[in-house]
Amino acid sequence: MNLVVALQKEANPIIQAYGLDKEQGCPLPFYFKENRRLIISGIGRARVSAATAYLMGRFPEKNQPWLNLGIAGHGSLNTGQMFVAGRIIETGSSQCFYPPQIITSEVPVSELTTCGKPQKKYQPNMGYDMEAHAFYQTACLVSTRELVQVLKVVSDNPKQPISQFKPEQASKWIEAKLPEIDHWITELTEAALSIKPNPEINKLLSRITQRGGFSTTRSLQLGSLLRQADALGEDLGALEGMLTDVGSPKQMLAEIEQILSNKRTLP
Amino acid sequence: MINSIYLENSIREHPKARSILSRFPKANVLPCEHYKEVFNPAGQNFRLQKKNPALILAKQTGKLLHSIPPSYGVGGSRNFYFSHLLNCLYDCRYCFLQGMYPSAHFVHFINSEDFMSVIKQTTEESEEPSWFFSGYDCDSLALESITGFAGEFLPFFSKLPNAWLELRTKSANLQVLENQTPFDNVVIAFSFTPEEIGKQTEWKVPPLDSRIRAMKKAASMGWKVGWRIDPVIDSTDFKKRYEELFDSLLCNLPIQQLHSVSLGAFRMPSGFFKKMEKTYPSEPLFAGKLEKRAGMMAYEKNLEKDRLTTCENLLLQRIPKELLFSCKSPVV
Repeated sequence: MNLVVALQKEANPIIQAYGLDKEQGCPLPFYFKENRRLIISGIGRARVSAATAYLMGRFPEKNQPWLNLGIAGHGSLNTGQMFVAGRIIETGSSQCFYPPQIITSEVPVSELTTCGKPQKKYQPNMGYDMEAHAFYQTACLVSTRELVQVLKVVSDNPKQPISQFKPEQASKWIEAKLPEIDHWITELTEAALSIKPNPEINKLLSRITQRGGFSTTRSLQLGSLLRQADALGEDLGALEGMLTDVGSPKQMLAEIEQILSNKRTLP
Repeated sequence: MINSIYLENSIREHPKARSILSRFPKANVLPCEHYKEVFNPAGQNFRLQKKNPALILAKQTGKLLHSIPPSYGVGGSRNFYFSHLLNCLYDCRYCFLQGMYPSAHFVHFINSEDFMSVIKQTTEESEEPSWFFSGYDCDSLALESITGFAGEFLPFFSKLPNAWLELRTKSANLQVLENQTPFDNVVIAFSFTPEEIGKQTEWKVPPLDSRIRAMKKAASMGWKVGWRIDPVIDSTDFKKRYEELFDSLLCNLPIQQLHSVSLGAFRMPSGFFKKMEKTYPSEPLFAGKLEKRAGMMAYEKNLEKDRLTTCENLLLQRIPKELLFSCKSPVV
């Protein structure tokens, strides 16, 4: 799970709740524990793009869950209320994103406008932030859209405009929403796992091709056969054992094909 | 069931859109300019969306009627399909929709008046009967409670005697048929696979016995009924399983109430197949005895021929030849 947060005050409750450790020497404040990572981007489009791209570069595995979390203004919701962005637009841009909502949750779904500066005018049913559009655009380069989400807690609205906002409240509001945030983190992580290919396939492919002699075409054929073997319930460890003494790549492909041939019919 | 609804701005005030929205007071409703903004972007995962698909309410402004592939008809010479809905409530692993669409959201085109107008016009262009198939890009009846499609189109077709409507479905809920007096130019076409194969490939689909009961009920009400044995899926005990299926269908439907039977092998464009295989890498069906022929993925030629011939022979032992139609794959 990659969390991208604009401000330290927004990040603190998350860092504390998950016991994240700070990594020294990073160009941006970066916290982690096991597969949970949090980066503090700073405010605005350029900063959030850079922070997201930094995480993408360091952890290039595809289809990881990504969450942009922070505070936002809203035209209708109360302060302290959380919403998920279902439509993200940006002032001055025609590009619009619709993060597919696959997580069942009580959190309301709202439109969100990413602005270049804090908004003082509010439209009904509209949220306002300064990062989500750029975050979504960047994270979707490496992850399927369902796994990239934006959660915001309302910091200001027409009744309590941004001029009355006190930064220290950000931590309190985020902290109050930790159970719901945790639900999203858990669900998105599970969703990512559900579409993750069996990592043993690529490991086996790598071990076999390292023996040498595999052209690009034969490597692709081998990868395809190993995926089929896995789909057909073949034990990959046992399969590797059967291939130990098989000579050329051509013979190996034929051997796997032979092993699978009797299993290709649905039971 | 529906948590998110996207609504095209141009139909915000359309009575049908308002009626559907009123049935989902708790749903999150989001505006969009055009359904393709939500439905078409690359980088979506069909499998993840299938867990919780959204409903998109839209107006079809593109082509409303399409010709069906040659040989896919059930007796007519003028054959068209139309789609009031894209995507299906059910989740059949063999279904080409998983490979064809970038998204699993349901797109419901609410401008039925435009579909009706073009259907009427097309019918009037010829004295030959025209056939209109409604279940190519969706199940015709599974989302009836939301779309009200059959409730609206059955009365329309009842007044167009030279136009035939096929409602193709795996639904067991036929309440809409009970609310309408049966008439001749409509076929309720039920798709079937043997139970053991269905259990491995058809998710969220009503059990076979309840669908057979639904078929029996539709026939007893006076509707013409069809069997759609498409796609034929290879499995162990193939002949026995299909024989049992055909016997139980026939047991529950007097032959005189059977309009047509269509038969087709598992096949699809290789591009669709590639996407499906990537979406469901652990699916045994996709690791079956398949091959690519002329841009299509299908069972190996001899296997396909054998399985289709087996089904054809089994059917011809039970039904008159003129009721059987083969959906021949364009694969050579």
